[in-house]
Amino acid sequence: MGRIVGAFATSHVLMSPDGIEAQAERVFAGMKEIGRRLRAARPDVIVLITSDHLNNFKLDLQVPFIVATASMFTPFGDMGVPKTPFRGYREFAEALIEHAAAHGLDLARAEEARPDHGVAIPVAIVNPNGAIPVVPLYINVAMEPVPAPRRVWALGQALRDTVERHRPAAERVVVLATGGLSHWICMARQGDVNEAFDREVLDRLVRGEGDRLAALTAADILDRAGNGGLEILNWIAMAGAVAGARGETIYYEPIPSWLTGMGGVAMDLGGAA
Amino acid sequence: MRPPPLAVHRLIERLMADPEARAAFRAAPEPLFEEFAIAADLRPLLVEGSRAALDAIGVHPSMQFKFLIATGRSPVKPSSIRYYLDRV
Repeated sequence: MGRIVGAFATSHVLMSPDGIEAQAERVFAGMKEIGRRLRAARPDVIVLITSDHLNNFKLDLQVPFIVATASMFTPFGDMGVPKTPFRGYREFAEALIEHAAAHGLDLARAEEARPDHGVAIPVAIVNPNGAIPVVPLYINVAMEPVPAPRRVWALGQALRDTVERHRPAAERVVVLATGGLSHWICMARQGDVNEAFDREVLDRLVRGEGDRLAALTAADILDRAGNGGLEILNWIAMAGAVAGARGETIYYEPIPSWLTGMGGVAMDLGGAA
Repeated sequence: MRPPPLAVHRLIERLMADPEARAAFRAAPEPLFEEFAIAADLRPLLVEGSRAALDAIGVHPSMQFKFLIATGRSPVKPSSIRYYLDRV
């Protein structure tokens, strides 16, 4: 059986530091720290749970869950991210699709994807030389209905089951969720940050209470964290993959000029390493 | 339920993907309105280009964000990711 040897979550944007230099630097330092810990776990593959920003999967057809199966990805290049190719891991991606189906989760397969900032910024920080293959796992948060939190929790559990029951012995897997925290995109509350809710999310995760987040409804998250905050679903999926694990908040900064709360956590998997 | 304005969304996708289209749209949007078969009553709203106007059309919030960026009205300060990535 394989093992999940690391689980992390982080916001996935970096914007202008003008006027907020110290905050921006703390966020950047937090992301780099997550990268340091991720690499220290010596993973064979990173399963990166994220959401596309209507750059690959358009409003014409939004699918709840998509696994990108290619062996190589070239970033979309939005937000100025370099289009430096990085490796995928077809065999792992196909195994996840196959075994998630046994959990009642039908994952769509995307042979072609140009990962946007939701993948490419975290990859550029945690996996800067592209040494570790990445399997992007997309959760729809663009078009209603988005998946229920309990369903993305189950997705995380299906991921864990795939790793532990169907992957080769000694395979080391890191789960990295990206996105969030609270932000409203072109909604009345744009520019608000719900720091109280963001901290509740972080606290629940590091106390090993991700299941409490899974008990929320998507409408709860939309109301309290905004349409962009629905990316917290990605974090709940990560928590489902390491259910019961506690963790540590690596960074949190409310940054209204970036229109978002920025946060990151590292889960403590005990003897996983 | 009002159907989504697919033609407008596709116009915005073009604007995001094509710098020349962005310049052309800012200079004279009518040829692009014609190309994408944008309904006549929507054109003044797109020229106005405010969030309220985009809301009135029913543009998806994420596509509104893209339109605002493409038309020089980005809600966030422009920046280069290089400021960070050069220090990874």
